[in-house]
Amino acid sequence: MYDRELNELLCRIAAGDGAALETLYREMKTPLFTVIYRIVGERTLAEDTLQELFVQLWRSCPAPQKPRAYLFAMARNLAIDALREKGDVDAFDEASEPAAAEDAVEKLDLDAALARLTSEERQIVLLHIHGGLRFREVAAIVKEPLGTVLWRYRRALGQMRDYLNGGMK
Amino acid sequence: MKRIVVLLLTVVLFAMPLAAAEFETGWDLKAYWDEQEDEYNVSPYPDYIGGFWIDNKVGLLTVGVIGDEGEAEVLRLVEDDGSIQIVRQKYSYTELMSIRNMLEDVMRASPSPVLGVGIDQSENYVTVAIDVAFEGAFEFVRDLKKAYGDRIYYEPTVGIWYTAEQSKRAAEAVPFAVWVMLVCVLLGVTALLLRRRRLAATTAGTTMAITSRQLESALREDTVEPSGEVWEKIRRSTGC
Repeated sequence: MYDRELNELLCRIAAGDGAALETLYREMKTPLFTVIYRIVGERTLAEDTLQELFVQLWRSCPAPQKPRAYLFAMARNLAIDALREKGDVDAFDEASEPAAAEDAVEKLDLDAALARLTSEERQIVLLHIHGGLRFREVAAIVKEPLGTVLWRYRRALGQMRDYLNGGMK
Repeated sequence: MKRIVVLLLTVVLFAMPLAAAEFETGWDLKAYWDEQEDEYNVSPYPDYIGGFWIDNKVGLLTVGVIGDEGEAEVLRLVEDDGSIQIVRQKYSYTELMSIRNMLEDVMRASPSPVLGVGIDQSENYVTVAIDVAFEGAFEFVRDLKKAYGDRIYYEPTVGIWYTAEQSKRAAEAVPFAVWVMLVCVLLGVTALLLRRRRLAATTAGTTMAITSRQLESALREDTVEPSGEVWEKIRRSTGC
């Protein structure tokens, strides 16, 4: 969904159009939920976070210049907040690092490969791949210089490839 | 036949207006041009490109452009302008390549004052290693400087196999060098085979290594759906 269409929907939501909220949910639920789920690492918490995102949009819908980037920034921030509230901000990293290596020997396990990345690297990969955001927009969301984001993205892909190709470090 | 197809393709591709092309990142644009490089030593880049290289300080693909029009054209072609860094240069890659080709012809002559030639894309010049022991080397460099100015950077070098005695020793050393090369090739092939076997053993279902593009594509398709209850909860919370 393009920024122009998203802007139209957000304007309609701001005017209290419930059908627009439903359309936005239908169109954006999958990429938003994928990003949230892969940050929090737990389905129930991810679904609560997605619900919170749409409820917040309904209550105060802004008119951002880059609505797609705005939505994914919101998703990322709410997911991190959810982890903090749970008091488990590093849980996803800790749970999945060394143990996952054995699972990936059996199959091409993208989740295990993603889980081996640091939290920042994973966010960059998710926002670019599932959010469809440009690196410049990702850099603004994670508050890192563009060069750092590009470098981390390439390094993350390299690490995932190494892992999936069996060249575990 | 292959050459004719390559030639026809090159003509067709160059005849096509580049205005229609759109590339997501600078890497895609570079790859597009690089694919057009043929076996005739013709520059793959348009005249407004000085070169491509990685700027290690910022970790970005950098493109050297000639003038405002060159910069505007690159920015028009690349969708994600954050994926490249643009710097201004004086000479086009095409111009530097023609100088390099000329110097390579000089190098092939025997004997020759030229020991090596290359293009430094980030510095925007042709580097040429000159055998300072060669008779007439200084006059040769003087003439080149007069003709090409700062398009060429000179690296003074002491000649290899310059004397007859050195040439003779080099010729005698060739069989040994061949053996060393053979051993290196065998070691390389063995390492490659061992690596492939390891990959085959650890990556079930496939013996091929996954590429970055395949990985990005797989990630894009690997999405997670929320359950149907989520929308019901949102609807109840918002009352819409």
